[in-house]
Amino acid sequence: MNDEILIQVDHVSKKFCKSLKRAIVYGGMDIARNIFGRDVNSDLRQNEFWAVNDADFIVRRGECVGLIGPNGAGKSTLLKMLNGVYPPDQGSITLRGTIGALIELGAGFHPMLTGRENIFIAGAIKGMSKKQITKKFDQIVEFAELAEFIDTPVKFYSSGMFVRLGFAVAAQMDPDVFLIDEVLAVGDVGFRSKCYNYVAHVNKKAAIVFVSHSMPQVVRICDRIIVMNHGQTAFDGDLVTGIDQYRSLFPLEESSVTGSGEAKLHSLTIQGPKQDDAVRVSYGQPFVCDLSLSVDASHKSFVISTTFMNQDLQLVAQCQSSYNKQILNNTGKPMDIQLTIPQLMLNPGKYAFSILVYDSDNKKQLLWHHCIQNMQVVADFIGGAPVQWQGQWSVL
Amino acid sequence: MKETVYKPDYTLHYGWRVWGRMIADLAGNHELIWRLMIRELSAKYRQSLLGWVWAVILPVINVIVFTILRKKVVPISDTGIPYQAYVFWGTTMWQLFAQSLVSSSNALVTGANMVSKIRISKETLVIASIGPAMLDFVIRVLLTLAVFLLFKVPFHAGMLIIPLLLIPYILLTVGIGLFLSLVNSLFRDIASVIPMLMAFAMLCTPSVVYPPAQEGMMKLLHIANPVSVFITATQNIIAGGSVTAPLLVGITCAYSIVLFFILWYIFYISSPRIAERI
Repeated sequence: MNDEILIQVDHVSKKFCKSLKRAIVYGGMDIARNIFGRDVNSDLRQNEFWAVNDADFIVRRGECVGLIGPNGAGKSTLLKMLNGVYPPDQGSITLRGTIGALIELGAGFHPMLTGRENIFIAGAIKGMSKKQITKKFDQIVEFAELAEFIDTPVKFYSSGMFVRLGFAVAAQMDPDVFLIDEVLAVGDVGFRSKCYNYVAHVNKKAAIVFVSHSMPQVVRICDRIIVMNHGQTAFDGDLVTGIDQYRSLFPLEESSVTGSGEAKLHSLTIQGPKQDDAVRVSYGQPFVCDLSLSVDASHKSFVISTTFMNQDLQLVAQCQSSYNKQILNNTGKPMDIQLTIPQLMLNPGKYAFSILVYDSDNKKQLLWHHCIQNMQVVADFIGGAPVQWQGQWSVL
Repeated sequence: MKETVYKPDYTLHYGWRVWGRMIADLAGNHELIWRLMIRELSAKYRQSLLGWVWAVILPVINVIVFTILRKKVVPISDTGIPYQAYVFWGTTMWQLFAQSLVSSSNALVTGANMVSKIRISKETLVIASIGPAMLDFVIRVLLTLAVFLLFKVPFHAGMLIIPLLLIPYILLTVGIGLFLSLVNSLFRDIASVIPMLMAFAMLCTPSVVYPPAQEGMMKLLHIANPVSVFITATQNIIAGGSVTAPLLVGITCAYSIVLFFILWYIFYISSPRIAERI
């Protein structure tokens, strides 16, 4: 039962037009052809491009697929086709069972009307009868945590309340096919965890397609990844490789050098095999960095700070000599320094390594070498959090 | 297990089954249509002091203006019915048509937010958009009855045919509305043209200009124009208790119903293409 195919995307392509005027003319022509019973030529015409190009995959019951990719890769277009907003231009999509979607929550809400009235409208749009909505009404209000404001016009709602109401109505379904577009990040922490629980609950018996840019979210709920790039499905497989593929689509930050100029870096090497432009370091193994620098003789000592930035441009870790209570005395001549971090506990992925040199008071920046070296932390897992502790586990 | 298939031109590939689909879709959405109508109407009057009273005030003022304007010159027609009664009924019929077309031609564009983002039956939006025009019509009909009482227009059994004539009349209106909303979703020109066209078209119908011209171009416009035929037919029923030109009215009814199905078919076939272009 569990390998029943619920979503079948068969060589699906969709084209869009870059020019508004042409889009309208093409639209008119296509409609005219259809009216006279003729199929529409699906080749590209002038100014058209493939927004989704030959997407081909299946999703089975119980699977949750994360659809990731850079902006404009065609994720939302594909999701809209799955949801039946518009049909593909080539190929076909087959969905089995009831279809639920957490897409554009609150579409159809009228700002002037109260939460109560809008629940009935949103429910009707989702195909629920008045009876069904009445039956689930209290549940919806409770899920949305809006009992106090249910008779307030939704135009007075905060944006969070608005989306919560939309989510609560959508969450009353028991779908076989479930489409989610980047909406799990709404509301406060409490509401978010409620949303995750709902998705996990649905996942037991539904096929889910989840579009997101947030890797922690993807890691949390998906068990398979499809990476889209330029309209094509560039990868379809496990989480670790998928997220890695996705990351590799983005170049890391450009490196740059700033500072007062009183310090100069001659060389820097992170120990490990080099692949493409990144040094590969194994998770849990020592991190060793050799560097050679000279600092202006007017400084008796100095401080070195190193930082690790992940691909979401978050500084996730830092190692600084002064925090480690180490004093680096200046010789005034080029100095060789080695930094060793005994066990690297960063979540597998790509990181940009930066180095900063301060004066002894940790005030003045003598040198800031931003993103001097890329490194890749490798392991056989991928976690949701930036730091993955190495713990000792024992059953007592 | 229910299977949903999306592929290029899928509405086209239903073949003859398309009619079954169209009717089933529409029937399945009756609750949504009703909901959206209420949504439009309740939102319309929500932030006003008088609220729903506005729905009545405007038509009432309309009657008063008519009555005052024509008070001095009230020609009694050959059938013995005051001019106002004719004009008021004519305007009521005309307004249903004109108001519906203005709102329905804009329905998809107004609802573009829904059309381009979620799966929703597009007919639903168009049909729901004539809710306000319908409510207005009902209120005007009640006022018309009051006007008739005021001017002592005799009631007779023949008037019961009027609701029957309203069915093809409303179908005609909805059909044209569906078609215009489709064209407007691509070419916004429609939204600009319709109000102007309606002002002109009003002169070609016997709503204000009564009796209709008996010769030349205007007569042709009057016969070829189904709206005009419906208005005249109902006016004649009110005056004489029977349909005066049964053949013309019969043909117009059949023609309206056929036109409705053709335009609906065109709309249905094209509707999957609306979302990506609107």
